[in-house]
Amino acid sequence: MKSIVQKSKYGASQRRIRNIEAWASVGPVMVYMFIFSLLPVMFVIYLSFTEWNGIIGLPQWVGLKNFVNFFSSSQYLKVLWQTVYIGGIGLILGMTLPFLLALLLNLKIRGQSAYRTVWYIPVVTSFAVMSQIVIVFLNPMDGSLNHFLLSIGLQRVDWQLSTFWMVFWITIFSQWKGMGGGALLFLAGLQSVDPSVYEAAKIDGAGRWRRMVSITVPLMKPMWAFVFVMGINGMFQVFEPIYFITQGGPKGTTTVIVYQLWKDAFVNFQMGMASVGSVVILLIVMACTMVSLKLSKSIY
Amino acid sequence: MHSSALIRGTAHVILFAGGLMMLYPLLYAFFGAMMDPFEYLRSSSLIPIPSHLNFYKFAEMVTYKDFPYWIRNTLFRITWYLIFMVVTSVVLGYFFAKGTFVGRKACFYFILSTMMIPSITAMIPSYVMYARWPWTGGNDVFFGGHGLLNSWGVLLLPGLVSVMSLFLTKQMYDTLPGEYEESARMDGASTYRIIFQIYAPMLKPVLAVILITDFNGIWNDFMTNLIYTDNPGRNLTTISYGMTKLPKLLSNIKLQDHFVSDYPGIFAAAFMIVLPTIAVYLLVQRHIVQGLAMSGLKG
Repeated sequence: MKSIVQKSKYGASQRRIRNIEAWASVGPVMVYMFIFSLLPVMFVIYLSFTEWNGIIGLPQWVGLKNFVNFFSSSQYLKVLWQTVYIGGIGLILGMTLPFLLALLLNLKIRGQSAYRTVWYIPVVTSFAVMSQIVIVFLNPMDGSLNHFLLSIGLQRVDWQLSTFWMVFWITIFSQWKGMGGGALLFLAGLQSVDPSVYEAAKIDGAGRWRRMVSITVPLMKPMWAFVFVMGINGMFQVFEPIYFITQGGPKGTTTVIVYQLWKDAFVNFQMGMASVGSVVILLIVMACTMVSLKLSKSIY
Repeated sequence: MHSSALIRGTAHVILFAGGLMMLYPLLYAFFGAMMDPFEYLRSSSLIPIPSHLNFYKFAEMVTYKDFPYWIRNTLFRITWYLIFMVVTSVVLGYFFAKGTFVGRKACFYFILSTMMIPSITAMIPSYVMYARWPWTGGNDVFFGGHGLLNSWGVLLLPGLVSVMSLFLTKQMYDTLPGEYEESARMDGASTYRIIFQIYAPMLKPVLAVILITDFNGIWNDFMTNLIYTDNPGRNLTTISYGMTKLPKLLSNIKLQDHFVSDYPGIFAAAFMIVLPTIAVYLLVQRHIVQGLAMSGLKG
């Protein structure tokens, strides 16, 4: 019935005009997205099978050589492992801390909105700018932290020479910046839970802890999946804190995959190897996205 | 949910103490900026308390070297991107939500699927593509000069369409009733008139989200300068990249016959550069949660 009404309202010529109008608007954007989003992906896959300095000449086809090189050289495997473990720490903290924070921010207490505002502020700051403050703060000679340690009678620490401390500060810095964003997502999730579910559980005698484990956590499943996908995405794309604060050091122990591929491309001029790095990130991130989307759907 | 006094008390303590930690780097920079370089180097406190409240460092840094140019370049980029993001989101959002054209679903899913591509993946191939962009920067067809690199082309062309914003706008359109459009059509209004005069005013919350995405994204954009421009002059440098050049410019400067690093200068600049993004966030804050709720990420 409905379709008949619609057909009578817009004639065939009217529909043709609408089609043309829509395509005239959507078409250019589709072309743009193809050139700026899809083409680079196709191109980087091609480049990963070639050897090239990126400046002069043309890419030379070398087949799987770069991939073999990537997965058989201890240097690249080490970089991959470091990405996973530095990112893994961040991922685990990034899934739990924002959730706990969201629980707190969801309590009806005085100053709730002020707290929400303050905790979100780091999210809008820039890594590039905040890093400059962190660098001064951690400066081995002039830095406040070492001055402070000396003034309370402790030894100064050469932060940049210790892998542990570099990973520590990178983690603190990333969590500082990312926590508010994650919490905001969980908060949106918490607020969409129907309060009557809690009331019902309360009447059945479920305690606070019980309600949290049996209701809140399972209902947040799609949110966990989303934060997990974002986390994996972020984990393999960490660049700016590493670039500014550790520069991959000490002795390459904090070199993550993006930093490595940036160096491959713009310091060592090996576009092929840099492209392999990009393709590896692409495959890992896409696989994780698909799996967690599938999982969250099937659980739902 | 009602909670016991104990839980609320604990929450207050954690949220307040943690909140201070969230603000700590900013407060540190703010107070550090008020010291003079010698005073800062002598202080050994984690909370730099200046002996006087003076703001001359802020005034000094605003006009320091090319700082005004960096701001100008960045604001120009922000405006340019804002126009494109708003227009593409509002127009395409309409066609994807309300339109009936052939291939609507396919186009929408294609655009959505590009969100799955990690942005880092495009870094290397984009660099090569921009360098060989036809008929620009001394190129003939594909080879020769520098293409779009080291030019405004690279600061203005990539990322004009924000898929996230487009998605949010489409979601918002889905919640709007179609009756307004029907009656406007009867009066003979064109599609574009309907989009901009009837729907756009109703999209305010989502436009606020686009504004903050665009402002923060461009203001904090450091990678574009790093990858696609080589030692950019004052006409190509944007603020976040410029900031990273400051520590070197400010190290070992001669002050009262001594060579010192002007750390307070770095702090003043950093603080001022972070401030606008916070201001924009505070302005559109209440729309963000609303916008997020609409995106369907509600669990």
